[in-house]
Amino acid sequence: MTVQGKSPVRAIAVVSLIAAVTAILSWIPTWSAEFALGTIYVFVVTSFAASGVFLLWDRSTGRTGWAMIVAAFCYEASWWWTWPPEWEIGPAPLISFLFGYWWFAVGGLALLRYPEPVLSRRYERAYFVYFAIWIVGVKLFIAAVSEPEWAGWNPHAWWLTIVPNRSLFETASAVFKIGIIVLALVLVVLLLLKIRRSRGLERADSLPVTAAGIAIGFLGSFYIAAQLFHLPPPVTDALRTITALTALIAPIAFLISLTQRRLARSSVADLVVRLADCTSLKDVQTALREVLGDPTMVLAVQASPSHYVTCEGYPLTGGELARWRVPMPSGNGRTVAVLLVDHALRRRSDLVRSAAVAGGLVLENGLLRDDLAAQLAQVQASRRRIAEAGLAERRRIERNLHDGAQQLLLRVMSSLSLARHRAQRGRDPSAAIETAGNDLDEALAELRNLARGIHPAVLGEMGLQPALEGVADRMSIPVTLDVTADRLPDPIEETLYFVICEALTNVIRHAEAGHAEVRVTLRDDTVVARVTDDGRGGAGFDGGSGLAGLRDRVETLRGDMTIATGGNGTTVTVVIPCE
Amino acid sequence: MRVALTDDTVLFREGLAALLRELGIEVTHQADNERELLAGIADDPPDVVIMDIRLSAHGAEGLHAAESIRRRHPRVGILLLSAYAETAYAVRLLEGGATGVGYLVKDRVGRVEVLEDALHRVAGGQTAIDPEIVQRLMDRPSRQRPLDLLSGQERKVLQHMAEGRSNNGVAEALFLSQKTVEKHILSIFKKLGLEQQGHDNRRVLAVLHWLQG
Repeated sequence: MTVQGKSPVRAIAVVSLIAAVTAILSWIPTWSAEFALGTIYVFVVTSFAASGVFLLWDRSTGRTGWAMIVAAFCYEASWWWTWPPEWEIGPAPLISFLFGYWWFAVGGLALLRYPEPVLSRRYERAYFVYFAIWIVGVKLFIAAVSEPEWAGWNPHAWWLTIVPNRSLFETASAVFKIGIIVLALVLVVLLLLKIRRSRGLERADSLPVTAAGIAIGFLGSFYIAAQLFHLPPPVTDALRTITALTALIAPIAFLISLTQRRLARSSVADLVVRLADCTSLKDVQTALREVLGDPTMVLAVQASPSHYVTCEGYPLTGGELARWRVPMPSGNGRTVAVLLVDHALRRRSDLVRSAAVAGGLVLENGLLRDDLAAQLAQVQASRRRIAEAGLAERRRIERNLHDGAQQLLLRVMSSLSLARHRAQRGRDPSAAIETAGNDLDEALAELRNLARGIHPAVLGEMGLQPALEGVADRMSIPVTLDVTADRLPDPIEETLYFVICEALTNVIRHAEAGHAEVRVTLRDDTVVARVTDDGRGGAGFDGGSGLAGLRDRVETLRGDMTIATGGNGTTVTVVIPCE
Repeated sequence: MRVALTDDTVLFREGLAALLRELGIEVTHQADNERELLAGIADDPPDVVIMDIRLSAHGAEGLHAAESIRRRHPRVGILLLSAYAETAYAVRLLEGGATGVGYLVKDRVGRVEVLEDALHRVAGGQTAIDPEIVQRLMDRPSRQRPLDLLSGQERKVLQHMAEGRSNNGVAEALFLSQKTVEKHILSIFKKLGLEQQGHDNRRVLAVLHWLQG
């Protein structure tokens, strides 16, 4: 059926008409006795068929629509037992007997897999295989061991009788019904599991349909249980009517869900209007997030040919890089930005791509282009500063090694040379050996200090608190510590450590302070570090202060660093989010 | 022998001075930098100046200082010491004029005989290139290497030649007759496609260039 793309109205009308007319005709013998139930019956058949066509028209749901159309006609056949004996001729009773329950299986399949075009889990597929085996196999077996009249049909109807056996028939029928109850309840469980694992937009999409499936599964199993335990006819009749009414929920749910999705698609049009008002990349990101219903979506801009950063200039995290990358082509076809979208939105790829195109077009306009350029300039400056700071740091380490430990060790070497020379000539080498020993001591101390400056071992092994205790102990003024004992991600611990060390070094060098205080607290996934002194103030990011380089490091972690300084001291504050 | 020491780290300089004195070498001057050294030796030049190649935080000022010394005191030998064995430094030094220059890694203070030998060669107007540098050049992998054409003995001769030894020096080091050494050298130059250089030190430079590729 190639209804997609065109208006579905004609196809829906044709299929619904066929379904409605056949349903009305098959209810003819019962209209006078059961008018209300008949009306529900006609509605269920018609709406199943109509929603099937509607689903086929929405190309993203695959063949789920066919399942609903098949379910419509199976449902229709499942009620032929209401016919008078004179209608129950030829194959009709056997068809109703064998295929009546198929509406439940095939409809359940449609409900479980919507809005995906296929079942995603192996156990779900296995479930439907068992379901099919059960309703075909057991029904065939029952037909083989029974006469049509035992099942309430005209004795002259076509049947598959091989060895009629009344008690076997009774037992098999009961077992069949118990099986159906179990299968119906398992369907409920599968639907609940599906709700549990779905997220965001996907959950909103499938919720109405899944809820309908759960309701049908429950009430269907009640109804069959009522039959099985031969509850009084009023109860069975009422449950039958309620189950029929519940079945109506399924097509309505499909309709609601599909309408929601069409509305979302039309919101791209609203998006274009909204984007026109955006003055920053962040605005664009916010608008796209809302339209796509993905609050974690990231608009990433190209900082270099192979490198993207968030629109706030942060480097992308591993999780963000693993997302679905949708290019945002600009007017001239160049990709200046990408959207990093939750993979769940892949099935709405048309919507996502339209949104990306709409977003890409506005990135060309003046204000946003300026914002983009400004952001990138900032990113590049920051990356350059980080690279330069890294280089300067390496030079410093080399210089320290060269001037410190290396020279000491060379002197150890010359002292030992000297000692050997003396010993060979029978003179006392002990003074030279002692010098060598002292120099070795000193060299080791130098190396330890240097190693600590590169990366203090205790930080990686024990965390920020013990590492900072060591730092405080080596300071020449008293330092009060109030540091969380929680372990933080390595890059955060390391950055905080160096910021705090640098801030404390500045305090000692410049602030003429009598006392300093370090406070590191973790609250609501955000770590706040504060170094306060009571000195003469005047600290800043300029003038070769190591804090400027460290601010860049803090910013790559999406954090923020501020310095408040005045006559009665300085406070350096770092705030970093921890995921 | 009389030497002047220039090194911006007092620590090492004093250690070296003690060692040299122990070897019976007179340390006439100690200086922090080029200017101090030139002022110090102006009236009373030593036989050899031992100088750190890095005289400040910036880099290889020692090379510059070597040129100044050579201009003012052509007869003073120059032995540069470096914390790192860098071929580029050695070649630069030799290119500046190859009489009485040497380039040693500072670690050689641990091997008195190497240090002494180098000092004497430099004082005698010859060349002394750190064995580590030559060894590393000869061990360089993956080049079109006619070096493989050399016999084991020839390779040893080449190594000593590259370190700056004269024919005589090579002969002494390898316990060979001078004639044998000359034969080897002739063969080496032929195999490597090098032109015979009359002067010992120009020969060192040619060999180093060749080894550098």
